[in-house]
Amino acid sequence: MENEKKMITLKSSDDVTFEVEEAVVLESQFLSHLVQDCPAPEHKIKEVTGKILSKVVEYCEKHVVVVVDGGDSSSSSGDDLKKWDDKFIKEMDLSTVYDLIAAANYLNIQALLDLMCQRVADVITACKDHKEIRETLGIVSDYTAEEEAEVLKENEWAFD
Amino acid sequence: MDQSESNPPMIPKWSELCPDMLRSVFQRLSFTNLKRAKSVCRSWNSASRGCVPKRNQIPWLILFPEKNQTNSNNNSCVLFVPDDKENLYKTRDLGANFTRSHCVASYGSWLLMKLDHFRDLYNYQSIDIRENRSTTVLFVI
Repeated sequence: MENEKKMITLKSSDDVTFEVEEAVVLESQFLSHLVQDCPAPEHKIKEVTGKILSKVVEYCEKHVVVVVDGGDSSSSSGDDLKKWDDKFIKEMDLSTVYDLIAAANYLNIQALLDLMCQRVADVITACKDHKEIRETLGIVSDYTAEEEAEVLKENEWAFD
Repeated sequence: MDQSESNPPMIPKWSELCPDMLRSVFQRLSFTNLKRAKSVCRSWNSASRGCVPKRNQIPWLILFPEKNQTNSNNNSCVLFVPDDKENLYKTRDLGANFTRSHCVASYGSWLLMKLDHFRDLYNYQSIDIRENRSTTVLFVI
């Protein structure tokens, strides 16, 4: 039980700074190691922009608070957290989801990565066929006509 | 410092997402949705190889083709996938042998079929396990 919380400053690639408690930083495996190995008060994260880092910090702060307050992580706090996660991803555009996948992977925050991948899976699931998936995610097919016909034939029953 | 780099809106390139991340998305898809995802582009197709879809929560309902049917064009099953809401699928033609076989067990998208006569096993992914008199074949739909 420490009375004084250790604060750490994170600086994004575009020099936006975030002052967070050490416990928040420990949600990220990458940052935990960074903080342990180099005990500087400020850490620059060159790979993540301020916009995305603010989302990462928001997520980690929320998840830290619940674990600490909930103690045994009672079911109600688990439900609240789930509701918060749902709202967090629902309000997010796909471009932010994309950047957060990269950031969560880089910073090694498995729960955030899982949440983002689930969002993409939900987007794919909501599409009725591969054309709608392409449209929704802005993907241009690189199949030749023959290749596409072949792939479709392999999986054709799933398109009825 | 260099703000110009973060200002223009970046269009995410979902086809270029790294294969590990793609697989992490794909394994959350149902069997049928994974099949649709394979058809999106080459990188998705190659990333999805060996990727196991989410196990279906509710068992599928499969209607097998009628036995002894002379019309050889109709050797497909009708498949109801409850996880896909109201969708009803018709599988591809699984061949005349399929209609003469019967299902012993199933797992995921695999069916363990028992055939009394064995011939012309092509056209579908299958592994055969030969026994003394009959043949047991694993089909994937």
